[in-house]
Amino acid sequence: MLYLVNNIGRVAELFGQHLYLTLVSLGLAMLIGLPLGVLVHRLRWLRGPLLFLFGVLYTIPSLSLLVLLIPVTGLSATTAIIALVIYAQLVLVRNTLAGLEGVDARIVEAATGMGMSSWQRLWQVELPLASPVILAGVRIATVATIGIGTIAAFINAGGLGVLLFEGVRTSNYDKIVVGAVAVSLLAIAINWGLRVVEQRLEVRMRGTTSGA
Amino acid sequence: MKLIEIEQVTRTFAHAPRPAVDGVSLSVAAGAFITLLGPSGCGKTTLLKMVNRLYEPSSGRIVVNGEDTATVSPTTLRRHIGYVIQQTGLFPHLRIEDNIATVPRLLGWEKARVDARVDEMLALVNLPLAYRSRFPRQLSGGEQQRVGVARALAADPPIVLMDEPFGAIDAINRTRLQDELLQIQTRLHKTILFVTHDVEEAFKLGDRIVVMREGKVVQEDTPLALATAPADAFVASLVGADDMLRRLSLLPVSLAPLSPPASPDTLSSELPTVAATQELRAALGLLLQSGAPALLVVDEDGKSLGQLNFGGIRHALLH
Repeated sequence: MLYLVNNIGRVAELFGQHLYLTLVSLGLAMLIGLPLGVLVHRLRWLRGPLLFLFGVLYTIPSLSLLVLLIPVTGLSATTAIIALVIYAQLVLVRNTLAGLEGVDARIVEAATGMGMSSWQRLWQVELPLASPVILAGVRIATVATIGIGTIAAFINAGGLGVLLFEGVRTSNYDKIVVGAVAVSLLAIAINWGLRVVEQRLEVRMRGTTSGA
Repeated sequence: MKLIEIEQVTRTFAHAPRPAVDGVSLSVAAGAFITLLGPSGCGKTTLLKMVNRLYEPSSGRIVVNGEDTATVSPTTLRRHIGYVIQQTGLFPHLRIEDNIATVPRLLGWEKARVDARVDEMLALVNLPLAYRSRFPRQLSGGEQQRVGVARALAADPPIVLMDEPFGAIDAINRTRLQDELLQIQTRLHKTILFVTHDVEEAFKLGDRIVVMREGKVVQEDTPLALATAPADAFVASLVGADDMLRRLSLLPVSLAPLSPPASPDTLSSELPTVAATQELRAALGLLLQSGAPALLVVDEDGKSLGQLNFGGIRHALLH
């Protein structure tokens, strides 16, 4: 505890770095993963190969992936972000696909039969109804990104992992605890926040609320 | 003029032992209410879905309003054909008003016009305006299907396709929805293709009935002709040709020959009355129950149309 009091500025800075790493990685991951999810929903033949690829990438231990990327992008936040984006893909693509597949076929047929184009159907019917499942994927990916993000410190990318690595090297138990607790709080808070949004969406898409 | 011409249409699905629809030709006049009747797997739904191109014919063509549907873009075609499916297919995340407004908005109607139309449609299907802001799940099954009908009619399409719309609704509400649909039809004169496997529903609603089996049309005719002159043993068993009471339940009173309206000196005012739209079976029951020599047949306004006796009922069955 004494460590936190004496180094509050440093901890806050690392916390900020960690949040930055997480948000940038996740933003990029969603920009790639959500459209890919829609794409494999439409293109059935692409489904197997793409999920297989992301499955393989997902199984590479995070430390190995970071080290493998060092020759390409060096010791930097960029390397960490690339790795985090890659890890998030499996969950994001799979949940987007699952969400879209889970939309009642009769509702999709009604939308088609009434003359919606496939884009109109996607935006007005399929994505809204799939949104709770898609957001669940975003939530799981976020928590995983926060966790894996601690390893970014190993390649000089900063974040709360710095406290853990330094603490271990210098046998500073206080430092380790502060780092671990800070990462956990971040993960728990974001998980809780997104879960609340997700539950609201679920209710909304079931159409059981009369709220605005 | 024929509004829909189905010409030698066949549809084969991959890995199926026989075509789902096999060389079907059918002409549908504007304003007709056609019921497509047959057991599951007979191809009636496949045929229906080829009209709005949810399925494409493997061969043959469908002409709607003089245009080969294959040459019209599917979305344009579908926006001008109403579509109602079983268990409504309402969008659960959209309010009733937004559900009903779907096609008008796709067609780019102005907001005020869409708004007015939603009110009009709710009134048409006997739902309160307060339902505008509700969600489908907050309505009963029967109410949801009324919204389904309202949604299909919102852009005033000349043609409406209905795929077992009342199949999942309890018997009492089904009867009510059927009656309301008939009332709507007498006001709007749409051309309706209505798929059902319920014989009584097909007879009650259809001006003409298309009986299908194994992808082919077995018989296409008026309810009366179907009941009195079934084309083969399949149709005969479907309409229960051997069962007189069953047949009477399929035929309305108006099909039986009536004796002229009673002259003032008879005691016709003491005869039990029956509506011309009721089925003959109900009329027969009333005759037996009351012991009266005849029934007074009245139209919707209660005006006397004539008298119906046992001979008239027998004639309707056997003529």
